[in-house]
Amino acid sequence: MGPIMSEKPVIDIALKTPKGDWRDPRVDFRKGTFSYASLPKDLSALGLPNPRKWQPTDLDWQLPPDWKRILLDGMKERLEKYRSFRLFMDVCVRCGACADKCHFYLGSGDPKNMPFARAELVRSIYRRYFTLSGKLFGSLAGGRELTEDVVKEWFYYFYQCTECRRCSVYCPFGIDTAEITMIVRELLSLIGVSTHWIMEPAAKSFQVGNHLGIPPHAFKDSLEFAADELRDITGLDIEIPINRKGAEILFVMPSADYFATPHYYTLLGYMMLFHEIGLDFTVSAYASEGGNFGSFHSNDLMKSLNAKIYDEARRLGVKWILGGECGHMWRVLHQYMDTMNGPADFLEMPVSPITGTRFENAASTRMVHICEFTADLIHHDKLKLDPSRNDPYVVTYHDSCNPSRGMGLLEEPRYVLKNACNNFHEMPASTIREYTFCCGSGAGLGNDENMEMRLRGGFPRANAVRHVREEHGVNLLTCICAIDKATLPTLMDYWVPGVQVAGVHEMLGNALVMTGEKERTVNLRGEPLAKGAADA
Amino acid sequence: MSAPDTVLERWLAAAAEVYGGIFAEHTIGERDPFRNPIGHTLRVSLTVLVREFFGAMQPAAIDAAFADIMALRSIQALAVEQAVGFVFGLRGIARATPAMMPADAEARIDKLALSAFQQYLACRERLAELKLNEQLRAFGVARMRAAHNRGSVA
Amino acid sequence: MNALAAAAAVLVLMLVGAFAGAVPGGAAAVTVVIPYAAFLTLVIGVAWRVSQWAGTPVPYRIPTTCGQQRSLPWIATAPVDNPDTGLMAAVRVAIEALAFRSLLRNSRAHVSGNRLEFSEARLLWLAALALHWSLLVIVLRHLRFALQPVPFFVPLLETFDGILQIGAPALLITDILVVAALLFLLGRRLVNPLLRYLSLFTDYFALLLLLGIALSGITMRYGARVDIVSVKALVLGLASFRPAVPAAPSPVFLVHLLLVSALAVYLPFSKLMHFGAVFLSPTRNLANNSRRVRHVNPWNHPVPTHTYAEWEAENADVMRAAGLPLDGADHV
Repeated sequence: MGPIMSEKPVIDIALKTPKGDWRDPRVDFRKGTFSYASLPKDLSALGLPNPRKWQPTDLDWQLPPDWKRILLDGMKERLEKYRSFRLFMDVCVRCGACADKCHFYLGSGDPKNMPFARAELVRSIYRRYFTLSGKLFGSLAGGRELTEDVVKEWFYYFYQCTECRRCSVYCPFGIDTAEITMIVRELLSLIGVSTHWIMEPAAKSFQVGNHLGIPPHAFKDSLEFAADELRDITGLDIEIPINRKGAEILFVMPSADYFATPHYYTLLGYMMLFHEIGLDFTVSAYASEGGNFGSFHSNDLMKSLNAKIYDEARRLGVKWILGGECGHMWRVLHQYMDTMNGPADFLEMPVSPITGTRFENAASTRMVHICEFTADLIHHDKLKLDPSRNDPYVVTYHDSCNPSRGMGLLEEPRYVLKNACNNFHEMPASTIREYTFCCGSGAGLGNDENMEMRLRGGFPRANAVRHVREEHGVNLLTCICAIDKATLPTLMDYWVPGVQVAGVHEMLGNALVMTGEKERTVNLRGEPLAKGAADA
Repeated sequence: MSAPDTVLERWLAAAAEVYGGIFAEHTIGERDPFRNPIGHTLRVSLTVLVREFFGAMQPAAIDAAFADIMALRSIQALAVEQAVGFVFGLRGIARATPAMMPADAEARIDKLALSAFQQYLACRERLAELKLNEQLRAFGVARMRAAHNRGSVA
Repeated sequence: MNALAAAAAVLVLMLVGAFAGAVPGGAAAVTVVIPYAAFLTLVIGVAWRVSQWAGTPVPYRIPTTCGQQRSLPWIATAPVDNPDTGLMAAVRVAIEALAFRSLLRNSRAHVSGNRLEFSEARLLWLAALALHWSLLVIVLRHLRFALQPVPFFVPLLETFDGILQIGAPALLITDILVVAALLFLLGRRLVNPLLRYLSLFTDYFALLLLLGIALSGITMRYGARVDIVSVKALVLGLASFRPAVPAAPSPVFLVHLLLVSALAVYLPFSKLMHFGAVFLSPTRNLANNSRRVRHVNPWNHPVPTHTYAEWEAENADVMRAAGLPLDGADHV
């Protein structure tokens, strides 16, 4: 036997637990768990205040001298401008219903990731500076002093919320942490505290038109390459018009669709569909970004980037707008665009040129989701589909946060999938639809310096995928979000190896039987089709 | 409770200790796998490990169980000794209840600890690979085009 | 510790009430002056808070959608959880307010085969429901003291409440429910590790205050009986602004009244205002029809944009080379 035993020899190594009082704002900026700070050039390009070089690991964040006044004034202004903010600061009863609903809490075990705790980080400041009881009784009334450590804590924890709104589903008052996070990020941006992975794409999107800063000629090259690929796969000449005036429909997609994989296969799917139905459409090199990283920073920047879509629709003289697969893009398009940059009175009521269906639900915004559009086509039997081409795949569907909890787009993508695939299995009920778990990388967290935090946040999702993999042999996770397509493959590689990630319209593209196509031997990824599929 | 069950519960408690008193309690207590995926993973994997500890000590089963645990602990806010240390907790449990233990408990614990360390390291190494692959995918279309051009020139 | 501080605060209030009768002017203070002041604070405070919330704009239409949207006519929608009209949004709020819909979502997956899992989360819903509905019935029952003639529904409520017909006076169901619910809610704050972490003074104080009120009330009904006639005379006097200090008020009654007054003062400034918030929450009371009907932001302001003309001017050369169409005549 080893050395002398202590009286209660349960464990040999003393395991320190760093979990103190939640009021202690100090955080440890451990590598792999935070995003790098934004660069001065990007803030300057967007005309944002207090640009400077700094990093979260610095002891001194070089906050402007009057940072405290700026934050408190900013809070006051927003308390007066947003009922949501004021109400959510006032009413939490700490019933605990949200406690185990946040994917970051479930994956990290860090108590400040419980939604009520995250909100309490701001609420305590609100109480201290904006309520009578807090001014009088301070910490007894749940108040905290606003210090530089609190600023650091806000940065850490509000860039550790993916604005997925899952907590809001369970809250008896609908308190939405996403809303609080959006406002705190606005506040932090007032003192020049924001992240590089959000601000650089936002600046490029503003200046060049898309997150990666792909100029118009390279944009054209990318799409021509897609057309070449499609010729190889289908034997058909598929045209992708750019900036074409007088088209009936402007199609807007997240830029990842034309520069990243597996997004790109979804792009192929859209283009096959449009060709097959003979859609009169155009894409735009100016509004070449459907995504909106501004929405991860402030409402003003969201509005500024979003303005391009209507402006371009007006310039091109289209009748209505069709939008591709992207999560936060659709949160902005569905809940903000019309209010911010409408009214879209220069457009017409969206009507499907193929089925004649009037999209009454988009009567004012005049922008339709591609899944709504495609589901309508399938429902009216306008597409010939051969789902057996997707037979190598055992498919499940991940509801992306924004389309599910900020829109309610649940059945349309499922309808498309079930018509395009033979093997489809849902994940457990408490992890899909309005209860869906986030990929852990949304709202601007999907960078590689933040990888460990993302893996924590994505663990609950992966855990549910693993369940259906073990149960049904699922090997393909489909979704309708560009951030999902960028980050879920990483999540799967780590947590559930053997599961690939694809967009819904990639599945559609595989299954779509096109007029005059050559015998299809490979799917959109260039992988051989299932045996016997071609003659089905 | 049978010996394996007792060991499992005590070992779980030791493993959950890193999440801090009250949260450790929750990690062990909540049985819904989707409301407490950390606790679920720990319980499922430790069940296998306890079975092996009292049984055949099959390396494949041990490695797989530790792979699941370490996938989590290697990316959480834990130092190495916190992530892996609970394995040595078994030693304390063994001493407290010597009658229940396999005769060669010490040697078995050493084997378990070695596997735990290996899996921990493997997870850390995979992180670099994940980042690289993600970057490659982010420019996937450019890479495909480059490959395509090379192909057409050749 | 927050729980102890809250218990001490409630205890102090109870002691003040208990001994108020022994101090000259004490009874008058507790039965007349403080209730008036407290009632005034309650009315003004609640009006102020609600008007502050209601008066703050709702710039964006941000309902949390919890079911299928209305899009294509052949897809079944979730009309309440994802309301499409103002009316259905009102129904959603009503179900939220009356039946605590969202708390009911807190279900558990059962995994361990034949083992029955104890579902604490559903108990939270039940306890919250029992507490709030009992409180409503109890408040309505108290109208017996404040109104003459007694409204018809009060005896009716009492009949149903006492339907168990145990003991005399009949044991009231709501009395049991309210105490049980409060004890459960208090207990879970002390037992559940996650809640223990974040419960504040106010969380314990509110529960203990209500518990004090309930227990002192129950004591008066079933234990130390008080002179109902003089209580009614006092309350009627207060209500008609002709207050009369009762001759020898019972200490239990004074404790009860003081705690109720404390609750009235505390309510507008505390989390207990949540009853008003449930109706005003923008993630619950708005219809999810933002693409169909334009929502207007009262303070919508212009922001800088990068216009197409600016963009084309910067990219004209590469665009021309790539054969992309150009708008600007000066570039051609």
